Amino acid sequence: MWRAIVNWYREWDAEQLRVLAEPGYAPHTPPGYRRAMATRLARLSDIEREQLREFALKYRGWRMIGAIATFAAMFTLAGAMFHLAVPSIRWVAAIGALNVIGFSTVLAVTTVWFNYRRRSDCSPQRSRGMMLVVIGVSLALVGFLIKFQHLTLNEAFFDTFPGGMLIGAAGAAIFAGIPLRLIVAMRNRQHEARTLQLQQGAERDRLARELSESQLRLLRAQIEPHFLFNTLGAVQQLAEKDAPRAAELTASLITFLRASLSEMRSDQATLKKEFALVEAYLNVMKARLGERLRFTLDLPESLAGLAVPSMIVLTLAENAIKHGIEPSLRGGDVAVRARRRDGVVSIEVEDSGIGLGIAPGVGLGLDNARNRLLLAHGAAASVTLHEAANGVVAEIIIPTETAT
Amino acid sequence: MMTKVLIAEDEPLMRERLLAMLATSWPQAQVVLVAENGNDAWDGFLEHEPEVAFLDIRMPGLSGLEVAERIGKLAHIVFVTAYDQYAVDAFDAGAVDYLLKPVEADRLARAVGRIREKLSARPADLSDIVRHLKSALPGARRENMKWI
Repeated sequence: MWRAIVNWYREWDAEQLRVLAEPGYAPHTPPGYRRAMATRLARLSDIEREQLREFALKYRGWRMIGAIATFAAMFTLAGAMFHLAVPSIRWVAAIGALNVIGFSTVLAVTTVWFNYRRRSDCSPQRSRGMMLVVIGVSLALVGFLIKFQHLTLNEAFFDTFPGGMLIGAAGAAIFAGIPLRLIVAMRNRQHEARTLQLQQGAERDRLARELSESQLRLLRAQIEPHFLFNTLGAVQQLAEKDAPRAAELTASLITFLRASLSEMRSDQATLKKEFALVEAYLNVMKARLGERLRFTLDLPESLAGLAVPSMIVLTLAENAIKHGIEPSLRGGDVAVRARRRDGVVSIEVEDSGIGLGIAPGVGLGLDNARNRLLLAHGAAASVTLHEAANGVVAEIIIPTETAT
Repeated sequence: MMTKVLIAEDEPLMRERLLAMLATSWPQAQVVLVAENGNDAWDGFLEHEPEVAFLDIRMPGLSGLEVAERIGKLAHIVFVTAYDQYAVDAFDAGAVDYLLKPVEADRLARAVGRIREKLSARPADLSDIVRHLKSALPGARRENMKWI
């Protein structure tokens, strides 16, 4: 018999812990009270379930019994002191009353502690109404008791068991009812803070991931064979027949690598730095492609200090080369310019390559650039790509109120 | 006896380099055409009928793979590529040779040695390898741009 009870308890305990860990398990529990209980647990919020699970794991088996025994001992001791303070109340009534008060308080606190969301989900009116009822009932009970005690002062009503229970109920109502509302309020605040913390953590993680992704992509772009090996091949050839030009190309490559490494470490860069990076890149490509590439850069001094997501203009320039100029038989021009117009800053990369329609390959990297632009400057910022008179224009728009 | 050779490469410096290195490691090669893009390479091939073609894979116009497909068994083909693991794997499996850019002298000499051995035989059938490469190399596929 005892063994059967222990087994039942263990099984139920394990089942509840599993539901707390994975709420999807609830419908697989045996029907009846066990499923009803599991369903209730599964309906708790993630944070509540996590806390309840921690609590359940901490107070399992003997530790739970130990905790109950400790509470019982404390309440019994308090009851004994109560009897000594008010000798007219008998031992058994005092101890019984204190235990009833104590355990109902513990029970109520525990229930509310892990169920506060449901309680706080009540409408404010209803919640205020319940509070008033609790206060009213408590006051009425106290008044009733005082009056009753006065009337029956010598009849030792409180020595009787029902009398003790009455004190217990009144105590529970006063000492539990009102503080419980406070606990609910406190727990709700905790919950909100924790939710906010989790959200912020998730957002931070996302941003960090995004950043490391763009860093990774950049790293890949630098060690991309078609860029690095072809450039080194060009350096090698120049070194043999035209040493000064080899030195020049090496210098451009160094400038490009150094600038991109420095930009990679920060999320934002000034347009001045960004244009310097793009210039170094285009110089390298010019040395390799020769007559097939011509380019111009135009950055007004007033916009040099504008902060933009790092590498964003470079991404557009790389796309222009890769998808516009390189696949084009006759090559083309690349024009990079920044200007202020209609209350926005516009940064354009225009190429007169093969246009949008027949570009081979699928470009990457721009989604990432766009996300970072939106994060930094809001929904009014944009990256667009459109066909122009003689090629393709990629345009970054930054609203001036967020442009610093 | 001279062997007629075609070179197709879009970057001028790489073109010069391959030309200069080939002159050293294969004096018997007679470069009949240096093409700057795939279209010129194919036109030049029809005109000059070279026995060996060095083709860059990424070129404007027809890609190196597309030119190789058209050449078929009419010439021995050496692909020149900056780096591509797919390509390297495929070439390793196939009869055709490949050169990694920047091209190294001893590697080119080895490739030339192999070509000269094979010159007497019929050129390899590359159609299967080319088909495989065209599906494996994203850059070699023509697609509409999807970057925005």
